[in-house]
Amino acid sequence: MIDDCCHTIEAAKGLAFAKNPHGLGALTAGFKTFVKDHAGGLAQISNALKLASGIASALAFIPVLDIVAAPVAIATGAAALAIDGSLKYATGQGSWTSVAIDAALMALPGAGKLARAATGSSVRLATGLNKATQDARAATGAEHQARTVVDDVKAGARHAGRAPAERANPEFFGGRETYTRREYDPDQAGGEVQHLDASLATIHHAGVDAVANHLNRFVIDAQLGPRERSMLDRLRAVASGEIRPTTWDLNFYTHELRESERYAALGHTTGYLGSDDLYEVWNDVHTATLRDYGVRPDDLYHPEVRK
Amino acid sequence: MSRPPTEREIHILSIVAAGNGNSDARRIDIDMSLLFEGIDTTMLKELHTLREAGYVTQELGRGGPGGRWAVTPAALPYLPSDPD
Repeated sequence: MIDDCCHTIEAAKGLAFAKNPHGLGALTAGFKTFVKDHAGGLAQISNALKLASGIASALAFIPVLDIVAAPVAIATGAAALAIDGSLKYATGQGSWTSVAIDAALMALPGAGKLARAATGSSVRLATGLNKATQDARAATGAEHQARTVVDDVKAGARHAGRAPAERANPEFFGGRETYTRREYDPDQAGGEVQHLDASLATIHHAGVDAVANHLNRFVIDAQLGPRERSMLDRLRAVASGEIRPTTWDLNFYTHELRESERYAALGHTTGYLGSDDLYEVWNDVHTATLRDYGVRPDDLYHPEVRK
Repeated sequence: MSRPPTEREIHILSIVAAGNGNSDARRIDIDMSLLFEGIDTTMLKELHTLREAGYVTQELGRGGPGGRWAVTPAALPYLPSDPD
């Protein structure tokens, strides 16, 4: 009898606590309930904040605009991160790895530069970027370079956070063990080879324009080769939503943007890249970029374009 | 008498010939890499080797990384499209 009473009391104590949380427990339970009830809306807000952060990030590298855009980029990025973390905590949706990577990105070169732009600090970040890189990115054309830096770093960080088995299509999206044996000088390639993932890129019109601008720097009369013209046509169709991006589209798109980034790091921020004596420079940055994404040259062009 | 070109070099000569003297080393490099992977040198060095063998000529001053390249008459017998 006494034992039965004790069990009943213990059970009642548990019920009372579960139904009537108080203090920190009440706060936590209420927070979780709120997040669960509004998970859909919060996810939409997070996506919108990420979009706003991306746009502000690009604008933050334009003189004058940076004063406003940089804090906006940081604030919206941080808010999106907080929402994603809350959703994961309350509902289990999402991935702590993804949240952690997004948080880490706040401290990586692109976001770090935003913070520097916002504060006016001249402190150089320990990102492995050499002086030429820093100076070049502070020069003209910084908006495009900044966007590609942010995209590339983001893709690289996510690549690093993913197990090889998770990668969508290693045959074409990189990860080849023998992707290239091309001879090149890694010290003259505009920075160390990173581990980036083209499959994470999004093809948009501004990026396609940047690709076109980069390719046109190799020709005097803006007469690109037929393959490059065809690939640009494909990228524009993808950006317009007319066709879905293939692995070749994403590889070509990211390769050219990253290659442009490497040229800029070497000081070639603007101007003609087609001089007779610039073959070695092209070979170095081209090869390093192939290694960045772990692809071969023939992974860059759609089969229809290669004909 | 120059040595005969290797199979790989014949493909390079074909690409150079298709450019009608307008292809630069970068363009030739890209076109060749779409057909064959596995070079462990640079296309410019390969072209210089072919130039030393008498199969191609290099033209500088017109623009194009690595200069513009054209085949010489010595290369014609090795080109697949050559009627001989």
